[in-house]
Formats: sequence, C-alpha cells, structure tokens
Amino acid sequence: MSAVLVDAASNIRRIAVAGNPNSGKTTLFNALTGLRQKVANYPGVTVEKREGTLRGYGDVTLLDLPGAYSLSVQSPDERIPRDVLLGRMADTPRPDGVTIVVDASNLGRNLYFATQIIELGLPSLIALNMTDRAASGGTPVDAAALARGLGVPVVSTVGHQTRGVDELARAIAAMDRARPPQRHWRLPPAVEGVVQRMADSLADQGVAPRDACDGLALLLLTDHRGAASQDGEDVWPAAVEGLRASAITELSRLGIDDVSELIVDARYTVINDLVDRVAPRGVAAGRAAALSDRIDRIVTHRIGGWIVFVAIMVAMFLAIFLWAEPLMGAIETGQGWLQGVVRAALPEGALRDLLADGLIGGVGSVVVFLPQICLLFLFIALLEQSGYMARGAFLMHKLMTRVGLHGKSFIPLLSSFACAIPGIMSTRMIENRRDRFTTILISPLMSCSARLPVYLTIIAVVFGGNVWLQTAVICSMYLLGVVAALLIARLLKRTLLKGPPPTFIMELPPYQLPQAGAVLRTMWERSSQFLTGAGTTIVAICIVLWALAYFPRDADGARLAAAQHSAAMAEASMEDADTLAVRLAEIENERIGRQLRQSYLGRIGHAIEPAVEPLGFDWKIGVGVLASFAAREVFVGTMGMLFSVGESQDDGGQLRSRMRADVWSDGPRIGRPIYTVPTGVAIMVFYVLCCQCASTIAVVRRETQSWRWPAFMFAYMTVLAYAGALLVYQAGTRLSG
Amino acid sequence: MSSSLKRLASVERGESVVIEVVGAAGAHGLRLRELGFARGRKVRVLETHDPMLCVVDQARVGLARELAEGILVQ
Repeated sequence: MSAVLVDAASNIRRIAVAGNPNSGKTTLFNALTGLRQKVANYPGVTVEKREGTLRGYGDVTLLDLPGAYSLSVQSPDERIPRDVLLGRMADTPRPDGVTIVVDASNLGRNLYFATQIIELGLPSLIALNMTDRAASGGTPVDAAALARGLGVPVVSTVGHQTRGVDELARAIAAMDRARPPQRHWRLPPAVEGVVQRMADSLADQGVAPRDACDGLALLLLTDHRGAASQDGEDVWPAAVEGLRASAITELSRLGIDDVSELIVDARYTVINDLVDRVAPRGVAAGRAAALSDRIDRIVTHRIGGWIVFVAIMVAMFLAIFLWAEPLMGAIETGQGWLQGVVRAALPEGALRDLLADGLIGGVGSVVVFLPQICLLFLFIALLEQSGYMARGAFLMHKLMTRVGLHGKSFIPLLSSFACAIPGIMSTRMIENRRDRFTTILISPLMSCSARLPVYLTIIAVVFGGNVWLQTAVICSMYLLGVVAALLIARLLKRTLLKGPPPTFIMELPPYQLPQAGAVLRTMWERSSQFLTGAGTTIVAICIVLWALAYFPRDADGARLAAAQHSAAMAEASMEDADTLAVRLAEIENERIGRQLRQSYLGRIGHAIEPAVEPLGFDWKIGVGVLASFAAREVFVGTMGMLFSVGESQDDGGQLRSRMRADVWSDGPRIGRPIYTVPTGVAIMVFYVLCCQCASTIAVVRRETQSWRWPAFMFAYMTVLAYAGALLVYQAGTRLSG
Repeated sequence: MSSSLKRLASVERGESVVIEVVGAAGAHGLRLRELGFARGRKVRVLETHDPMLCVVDQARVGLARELAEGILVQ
C-alpha cells in the first residue's frame, strides 16, 4: 500500500519542510516560496502554520514545520512535526512527501532527526545545507555517499544562494511518490522482533499508514518515559498505550530496562559511521564558528556577559523611547488633522461625534503606539536573528530559576515594558506549558508604555517640580511592577501551576549577521498581528466608552451654553478677540463637563464612589480608573474631560493645576484637597498592579485557548491593585497624620 | 579505563572530553541525547558556571550543572 495521498480535486502535492532549529530551514523556505505565504495557527496550539507555493511549480505547496531536534514529544507544541507527518493533525492532511533540511556543519545531530523522519515512510529528500560555517574550503561532505547511506536523494544548497535553491526546487517537484524509504539500520535481533511485532499491530489497528508504523513503533519506544513526564498531553488511544506497555514488558524480560537509551545509542552508532564515511576528515569548523567562539568568550562570560547584556538593554530602551517620540507626535498631529476634516465635512450631531471622537480617537489611541511596537519588534528580531537572544536566556537563567522560571522568560518580560501584548505573544518559545502560562500571567505587571502618561500626570500633580524626586518615584513604580511579577511567579509555580524549576538545556546558535529582509518581514508580521488583534478590541471599547460619556444628552446644558455663547459674542468688542476666544473655550469646556457629569459614565462614577473612597479616590478618579479598564491610556484623556479641559488645547499644565486645586465636596474630608501624596501614590500603585487593558485580556484568551486564564489574571490583578492602593493610602494618611 | 571516568561538571574550562555515560533519566536524558550528548561524542567545555556552556559536534549548548553532574566522560 502506498502512503502517498494525492489531493484528488486539485492534484496539488503538499510537501512538508522539516529541520533542526538554526539549520537554515526558514531561509530556504522563504527562498523556495517567495513572499506569498499563508500564515495561520495549528488548531489548539499557538504554533504558526506557514504554507507557500513552490516558486516555478504552481502544483506544489510547501508546509514549513516548526524546527525541532527530534520527533520525541515533551511539550504539546512539539507534537506538531510528528503528527503532521503521520497525518494525525486536524485540518492538515498528511503531506505527500517531506524535504529535510540538514545543516552540514552539525551533521550528526541533524541526521538524528532526519533518520527519524525518513523512517515514517514518506517520500523524502535531504537538502544538505552548506552554510558558510561548513563550506569554507570546498565541499567537505560527500552528498552522493550520504544519499547512498540514507537511501534518499540529497541536494546541496548554500543558504539562500539561488543556484542551490533552483536545483532543490526541481528536486522537490520531481520527488518520487511511489517508493517510500525504509529504515537502513537494525537493532539487536531479539529487540528487532519486538519492534516489528509492535509495528504490525499498529498497522493492523490503523493507527497510522503501514509504511509509517516501523518508525512510529521506534518513536513510541524512544519516548516511553519522556511523554509521561510532562503535562501528559501527548494522548494516544488506549490500544496504542497497551501495545507500548506490552512491548516494554517483553523487552524487560529480555533484560532491557531502558529501551529508549538502546534505540538512541543504536541510531547514533549508525549515524557516526555514516558521518565518518561522508565527511572522513571531519567538517571544517569554518571562520564563522571560530568567530562565534571568540564572541562567546565575552558575551557568555560571568562578568563580561552582564556588562554586554545591560548595555544592550539600556541602548534598546533608550532607542525605543527616543526614536519613537517624533513618529508618535506625527501620528497625533495626523489624527488631530483627520478629526478636524471630519468635523468640518459632516453636519453637527451624534454621527459626527462618533466618527471624530469615538472612531478616529479610538483608532488613534492604538496607532500611536505602533512606532514603539515596531521598534521593539525590530530590536527583538535583530537580537533573535543575530543569535544574541539565546545568550540572554543563558545569562538570565540562574536568576529566573529563583522564582521557578526558565531563562527564556526574560524575553517576554522585557518586551512587556513596551507593551504586554507582544510580550505575551513571544511566550510561545517557552516549551513547558506551566512556565509559559506563569510568564503570560505576570507579563502585564511590567510597567508598559501606556502607564507612563498616568505616572507623569499624577507625579506632576502631587510631587511638584523636584526632578530628582519625580525620577525616583517613577523608578520605584517600575521596580514595584517587577518585584510583584517575580513574587507572583514564585507563588504560581508553587500552587496553581506547580512544577519543578525548569532545567536548562538550550542550543546557542552561531552568531550571524541578520538579513534585512528577514528582520523587516518578522517585524511587520508581528506588528500587523498586534494592530489587527489589539486594534479591533480597543476601537470597539473606545466606541462603547464614548457612547457612555455621550448619552444621555444634556439638553439644558447645551441651551445654557448656546445662550452664554451669544451673550459673550454680543458683549465682545473688536480689539478683544483673544479674551473672547478664551471665554468661548471656557463655555465649551463647562458644557462638556456638565454633559459628562450627567452622562451614564458620570452616574456610574457616583455609584462606585463608596467603593473607591477608602483608596482616597473621589468619583472623578473612580470614573478615570473605570474607563481605564478598557485601556489605561484613556486615563489622562478622561481626567481632561472630567475637569472640563478641552483635550485639543491642553498642554498638561491646565489639567494639572485644576487637579491640584480640586477639593472634596462632601464627606468627612470636605474642603480638603483630593490630590494629596497618599492619594497620588495610591493611584499610581493601582495602575502598576491592575490589568487595565482589554487587548491584553483578549491576547491572553487567544494564547491560552481558554477564558479561564484571562479571567483569573484579571481577578488576581484587580484584587492586588485594590489591596495595594488601600494599603498605601491608609498607611500614608496615618503616617502623615 | 573506568578509573579515568569523571563528571562533565568537573571538567576544566577549555578541556575536550569524550562522553561515556549519560546518567540523566527520562525526559532530560532523552533531550540531552537528542542535542548530541550521546555515548562516544566529543565535548569541549567553554564556560563552567551554571548553566555550563559546551560545544558538541560544533553546536554550542548551554546546560544546567545538575545535568552535567550525571554525564560521565573521559
């Protein structure tokens, strides 16, 4: 029986592309397919599924499998290459063949994965990738001998250079569908007998196509301890588990306790022999490897490494904040201009206000963060593709294990200082589900760029003009977020997401010069994901918020304002144009303030005042905090509305002086100022600890595939924020008498 | 021969050794072998702090010292 399945309707052949991480697989895949790629997610996991048409061969579709070192499954995401190749993956039919990218400079380990794939019985082709690491000084690997040894065709390529790619594309299009490859090595005869019987039973029960069952039996026996040790998510039918258990019992009767080790060692013995035949002089280390050695002597050094690390982080954040500023200013100007155009073009009314304030304002509040996010993704792509990111994880690991996390968690946490959304998206590279979810749940505690305007406004109101004091307060807010995140991580890893601290085993890829095209492509793909994912949520919420503040309309207030307006116009003399403009702006601001106070949002604010009063918040702060649950960046704008300061002419000063002058209008503190130091610090602490961002919640929902985790995150952060603010305010007022 | 066996964790910086026994059990043992830490392979130690940094078959691999404790080399 042939394992080849041809798409009957379209006659399109689907070829999977597999390979070790850092084998040059992605570069080759991009060269083979060009820019027209389809990116989706595999159902149930967040691993990207990337497909593209083979350039020059419209009837061949290539499917890029996630990079892996083997087909063993130790985390849910790792089952994808194996299950796709076996045809067990929902929504992904079994491919008609597989191209395996093999890095010539690391032949042994790459062939380990390649032989496992070949044994699954799909027509196979090896792309022997001669990176500059291996190819310096001629071709050290005998491709023809390798093809003979493996029993599958081998094509040599050099990274993204066209010559090899054209030849590879030709070979892929001409792949032999009829002859499935076979295992070319044998285990000791007694063991071999057990494996064969298991393979036959697997085939008889229809677990996988018959050609795949020999390889599958070996995989099941290799995996027998690994699979159970993790989250137990690698679920096989009971019949398969039964076959595995009886094979293991049979083998232990033969005196074999660790069949996994036996199979791995046998495979490596065969591979070592093969490597000796195809590269008898050993693969030349090449200049790049020697350079990587020299760089690593500094970058992974226990002291030098930290100096480099801190320097890179500081440079990155300075660049993000400094370079993004002019672009953000330009976007705000553009947004203002667009709102002006809409206001001028449409007749007065709800539609005009919805478009100008709700929609353009809402879209603008998202787009204004795009420069920072693009820059952040640019730097992350550069760090990833140069090979530095793995060094960062290597250095941070010791520190992160103290709270039960892996060194890799530092990357999402770092990104979250700009925005938690890209941070949470980048947790995908953490294999262990519990470590990944812990990292997701603490990422929003990192002070993101949307919190900065809140800190700046409140600090200016309650701490006055002392720059050193202001800086110290801001730094302690950032620090509070980090400390809270680490403590929560420690707590989660001991309770809800209980698990041992992860053990570090990670390849540090050779350093390489990032390619501009690949970097920009990664940056754009992630940024547009942010825009569409977060953008739609924020816009929807901004519209709802706008409606709550807009309705019901205050007809009396509008009439009053109109009367004041005409009176002012009538009184004004010609030479007093400036005074008139100020007076008219005041009238308009008063009208906006009145409207807001009696809108649904204002009524809600008064209703919640008793709940926020113990934190030292009045109803206006309550409304600002409440509105911020959609997106915390609306706080300053909402306060501007509540203090009747038109946003357009607000340079911050007017709002701040009005906030400073605000006093309690009722209750025990009547007549005393609202914005005292304890209240100000309580507001900031609340913003540090609270998850006020609907987009973050939406992203957590997507990444965890459940509402349970985002609901938990929202709940714990709200409780934490309330408790934190309560503690700060109550302790602060008592201390200050 | 067995008298000269020592733990990978006690190998000096810059030294090259050959792996004899991979002692780590279960998932970690499998992961180590897949990354090239298998019997008969050459390993060079670049950094000895925790995690360690080794070169196996031209690949640089960082690994926790506790795992290196279980790998016997000579």
